[in-house]
Amino acid sequence: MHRLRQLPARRLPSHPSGSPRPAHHRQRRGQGSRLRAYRQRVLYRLRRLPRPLRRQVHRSRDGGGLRSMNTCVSVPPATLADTVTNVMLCGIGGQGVLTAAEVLAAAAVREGFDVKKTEVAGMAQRGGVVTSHVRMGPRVLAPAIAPGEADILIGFEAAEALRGAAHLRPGAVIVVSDLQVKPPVVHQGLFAYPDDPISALRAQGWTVRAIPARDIAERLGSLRLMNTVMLGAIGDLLPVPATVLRAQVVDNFRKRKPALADLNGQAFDEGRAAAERG
Amino acid sequence: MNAVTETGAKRLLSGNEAVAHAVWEAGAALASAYPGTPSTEILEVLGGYPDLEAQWGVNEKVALEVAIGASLAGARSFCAMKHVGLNVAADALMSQTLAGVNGGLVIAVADDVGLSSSQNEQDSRYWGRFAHLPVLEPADAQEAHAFTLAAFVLSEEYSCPVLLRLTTRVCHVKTLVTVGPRRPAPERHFIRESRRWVMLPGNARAMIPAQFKREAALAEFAETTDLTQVWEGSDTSLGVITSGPAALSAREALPDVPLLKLGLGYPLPLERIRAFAAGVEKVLVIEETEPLIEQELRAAGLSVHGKDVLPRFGELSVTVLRAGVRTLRGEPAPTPPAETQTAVAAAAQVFPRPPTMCPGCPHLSPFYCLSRLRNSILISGDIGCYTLGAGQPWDAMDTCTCMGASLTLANGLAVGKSGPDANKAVVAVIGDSTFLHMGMQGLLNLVYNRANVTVLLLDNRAVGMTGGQEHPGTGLDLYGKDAPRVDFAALVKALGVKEERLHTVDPYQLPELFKLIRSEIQVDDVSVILTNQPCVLTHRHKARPALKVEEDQCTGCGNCLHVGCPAIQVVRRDQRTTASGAVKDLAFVRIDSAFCTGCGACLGPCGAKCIVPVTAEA
Repeated sequence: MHRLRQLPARRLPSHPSGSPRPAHHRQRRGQGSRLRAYRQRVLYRLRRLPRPLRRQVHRSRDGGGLRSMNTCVSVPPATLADTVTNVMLCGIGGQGVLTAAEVLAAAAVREGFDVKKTEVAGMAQRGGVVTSHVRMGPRVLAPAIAPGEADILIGFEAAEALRGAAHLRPGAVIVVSDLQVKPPVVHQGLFAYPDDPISALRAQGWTVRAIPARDIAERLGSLRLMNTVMLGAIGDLLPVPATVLRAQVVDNFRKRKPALADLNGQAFDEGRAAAERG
Repeated sequence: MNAVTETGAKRLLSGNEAVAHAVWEAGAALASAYPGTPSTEILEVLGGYPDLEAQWGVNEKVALEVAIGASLAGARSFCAMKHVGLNVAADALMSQTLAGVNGGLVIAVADDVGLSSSQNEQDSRYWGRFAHLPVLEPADAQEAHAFTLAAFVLSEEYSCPVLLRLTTRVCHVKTLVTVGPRRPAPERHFIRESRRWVMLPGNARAMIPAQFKREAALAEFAETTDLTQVWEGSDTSLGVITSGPAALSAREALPDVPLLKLGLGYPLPLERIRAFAAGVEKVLVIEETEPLIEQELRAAGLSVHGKDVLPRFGELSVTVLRAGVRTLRGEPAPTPPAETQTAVAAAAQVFPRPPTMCPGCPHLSPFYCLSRLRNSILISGDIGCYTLGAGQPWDAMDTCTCMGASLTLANGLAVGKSGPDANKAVVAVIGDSTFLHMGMQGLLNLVYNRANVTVLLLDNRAVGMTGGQEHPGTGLDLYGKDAPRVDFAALVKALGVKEERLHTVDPYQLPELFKLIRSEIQVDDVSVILTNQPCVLTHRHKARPALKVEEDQCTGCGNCLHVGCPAIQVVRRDQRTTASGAVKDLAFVRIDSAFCTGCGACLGPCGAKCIVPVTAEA
């Protein structure tokens, strides 16, 4: 870093030639009077400049700051295997999957974990697939969960859980909403919706907890509560205590829509209870 | 004002948010951008910070030039764009690299590695080599913050723009970031020095040696800077040279392997690399996406591995890296566990769920019309939500290359079409923001060259695909304050389109729109059909009473399904034998009133006229 401060101004791409005129100009014209006139103009210009700038034109600029900065990620420890919990959330654009991932990540931070949260949602707002990854542990490196390494899958839509299960490690747990949303390509008759995605997941050998998220949310008064129900349903599966996750959900709403805070707390509890029955 | 925080505060931020915070911290006076995934949020977030001006530019070239201007005036300035945006801005970049900057100028360029939302996958690190500029490559949001601050200092120290190369996995990954307060930028003022700022050939020629001198000085700096680090490891049978988020994936995939992480990705610290390579048996270069470092190291006489074992495109995830290293070491791939195998096979069977237009989207009916005229037209498309018109059920787009290319390609298609297409009309489809970005010149060119093209200018008053940002056609600026609004009809006429060839139409009036398109494609001239309903995802959209299907009257004709509205759902399928003996598929539908916006685009195609407002029964 020290080198940065040593760079003199002549290395800067101000006019490179030592002479005040480009060489080819001098060769072509070579008139002393013109040179004098030019010098005078330059001096005049310099005199007109405010004082601090005059110094700047001639002196190296202060590069300070870089030296005192902690510029890089700290050197990661060499061994971290098995210390990270990988939670994958999958659903459809508009279901609140990203918001749920956000809350989950914030709860993990609250509990003192390092966190990385990412998603693929480029065109997801248009009804496409939304997948979000939340990784938590003492130190999290890679931004995304490697295929075959997700510990927990939260499926906000049944067929999307079937798609997402390809990302799980053996022994993983799936918490899945029984909600089924058929896309236009299914209604147009181009593709078929799977007969029973949840049974298919069970047949694959995973531990599956099916949550009637839509029913619970409807009973509580708003379909928008579905993602909080699903968060409640994984409450007991995380290294973050369910109480911390619940507090994060409630606080999140307390800030933005205080009227909905208690209702979401209730949705969380119902989701948690449904998972126990599960 | 979510922005101002105390020193040392740790916050969970995405790379985009971290860059924005650092731009503000660095004392920048101006930030400019055109929206583009994955870079969009940087400027959106900057709109929430005080003491600097954030501006949407009409395109990336304009945005960069505005930032260059602010820099020459002495201010720290910032510009953000996605990878393809830098292609647009390249003209300004390639010349300003000679002149250099005054106030620090940082250009954030976000590569969509893996193409989640782009027309191509590009490696923006090339621009560093091409323009002889330093390239900083943060790995996560914390680094994005720190590197942005460093980039301003570097820019001023070496008097050149600095490229901050981001990728989707930096921009859209949240992690904990330590942020600080705003610090005043070094005081600078405009330097009146026309030989430096006026790119006449003589002036520019004289500055070329200085550009190379600067590059050499940067290479010297690269050898010592702690932007680049070595992460020690015990397994010296391999050493990894890498940059950006791939470094973190590499550390996770190969925790014991020594790793040289290039923070300053260009110029390369060749001496440091040589010393690192000397300490390991084999060197693997891991880079997203092109083999730039690999080739430079080979040219420098180092024997390295890279794209011989790793893919040349897409994200280099932990899994991909492990597989590459196994290939390098000649180890067989492990058999995945049984559960995984069945799950992967089952997942492959699940129907696709492609992005689609929204219920009530004002683009639905234009594409329905085009799909009905499919056999008599060639359709030249453009970049935006309406590119989805290429998908089902419309299948109504033949070409789409880059921003603004619909109009210019249409020009060429109209001239070049032959054989079975000779009698087809050419239709170009472009959105409002794309038209202002790079379409105006294309329309001017169409008119000037007396082309025969019908232009659908779909004005939904938003940059829809990136989340509904403002632009000069919306009447609001980035802060949501009133701004002069461009008059598209007047603009189109000013570019030379005849008054009688310009039509403004409500796209929800589908029959009217259809008749208009059908008649205009028969006129041998440049016609412009301007639609005028706002994007349904913006505050400008006002939903109407939802519609429903009188299910006992639905004849199952399925015509409404061709509109492509996601609110229309099939409840029952059947078959009917017609009088002529042909078997016809029937699809009986319902409308999900939770999604329906009441736009009425489905009313026209409905054969039985059984779609009515929900309120009718009350």
